[in-house]
Amino acid sequence: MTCPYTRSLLEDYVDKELSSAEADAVAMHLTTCDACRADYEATVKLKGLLSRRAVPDPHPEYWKEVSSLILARTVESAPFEATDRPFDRVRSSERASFVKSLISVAASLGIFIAAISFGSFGDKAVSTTSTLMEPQVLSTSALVASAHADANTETPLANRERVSEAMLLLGPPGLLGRFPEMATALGIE
Amino acid sequence: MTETTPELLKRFIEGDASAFADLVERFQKRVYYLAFQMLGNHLDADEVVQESFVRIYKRRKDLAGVTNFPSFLTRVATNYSIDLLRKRKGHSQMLDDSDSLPGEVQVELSRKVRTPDVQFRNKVLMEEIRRALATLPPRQKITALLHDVEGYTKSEIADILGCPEATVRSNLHIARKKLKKILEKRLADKE
Repeated sequence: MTCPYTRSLLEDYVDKELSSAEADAVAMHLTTCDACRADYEATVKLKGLLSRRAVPDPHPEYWKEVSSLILARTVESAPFEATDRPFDRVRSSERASFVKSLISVAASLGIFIAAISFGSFGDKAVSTTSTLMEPQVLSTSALVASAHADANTETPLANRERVSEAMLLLGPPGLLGRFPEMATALGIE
Repeated sequence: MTETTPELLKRFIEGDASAFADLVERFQKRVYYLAFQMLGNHLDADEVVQESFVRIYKRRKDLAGVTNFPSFLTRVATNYSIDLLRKRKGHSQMLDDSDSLPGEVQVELSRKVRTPDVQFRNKVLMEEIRRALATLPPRQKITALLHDVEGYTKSEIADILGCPEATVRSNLHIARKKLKKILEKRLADKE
């Protein structure tokens, strides 16, 4: 057995982790090689010194004190509960999630109302697209034409429809426009 | 009849606070001595004892899969000790520097304190070992202590430190090599 190979097995030899065949081979080499034997002896001695390191015993009362401290800290941080709730934090997180859902419901409601409100404008824009393209015609010429027609002849049906569309634009916008009952209740005609 | 550790652990997981108190009482000394070996002072060892048990208490819901509680506790304590060692590294280096006394001063001190010779020599030797260990990086130091002082096997240390056994083997080899170099004269002593 060579020196490098013996050195590679030396610590396992000291720790008694070699097979008997390997251990015998190392032991044999150590009887003939001074350098390897010195290394072996140093390793054994080091291990002995480390294991002899004494830890001073704390004051006998320390163990009781530290137990009480640990138990006090654990009770403060997370007391045992019959309902299998490990931590107080669970409760606060539940509260937090309830508040979050409340906020999200309120936000959704707000968005819904806003959507309805904006939607009423949108509807009008869509329904009156053809008239909005020519606002002057809607607001003035259509009304003037229908008034003139009223004075002279019988109003054709198409004209009446155009007038009623034009009147809608003059009515209250948004929700009030969409829900005329609300406008009536508020006294806005 | 004394309850076994797995029985205590089971009761603790189920929510029995007295089982936790029993576990603390049963294992606090082991954690303290291990932490003292690693950190070298009472205050830090005390912090490790308290923090390890508090952490275990907080994670009790995760303990159902733990088959070897002492090993699990050692892992928690060791990891916290490594954190402390890293945090205290600068400070302990400073203490080591201020503690280093020339040989003649130590002899002079031995006369003044009137300590018996052998006792004093042992104390000096232990101080030398402590300083040599303090030069090692946390993982090498802890590997050497767990193996050579606490008697854990390499595979147990791998489990505790959460690393391959080959890493433990390598850390132990490097740690011993460094310690042998630092303590060369002491190890060559035929006493």
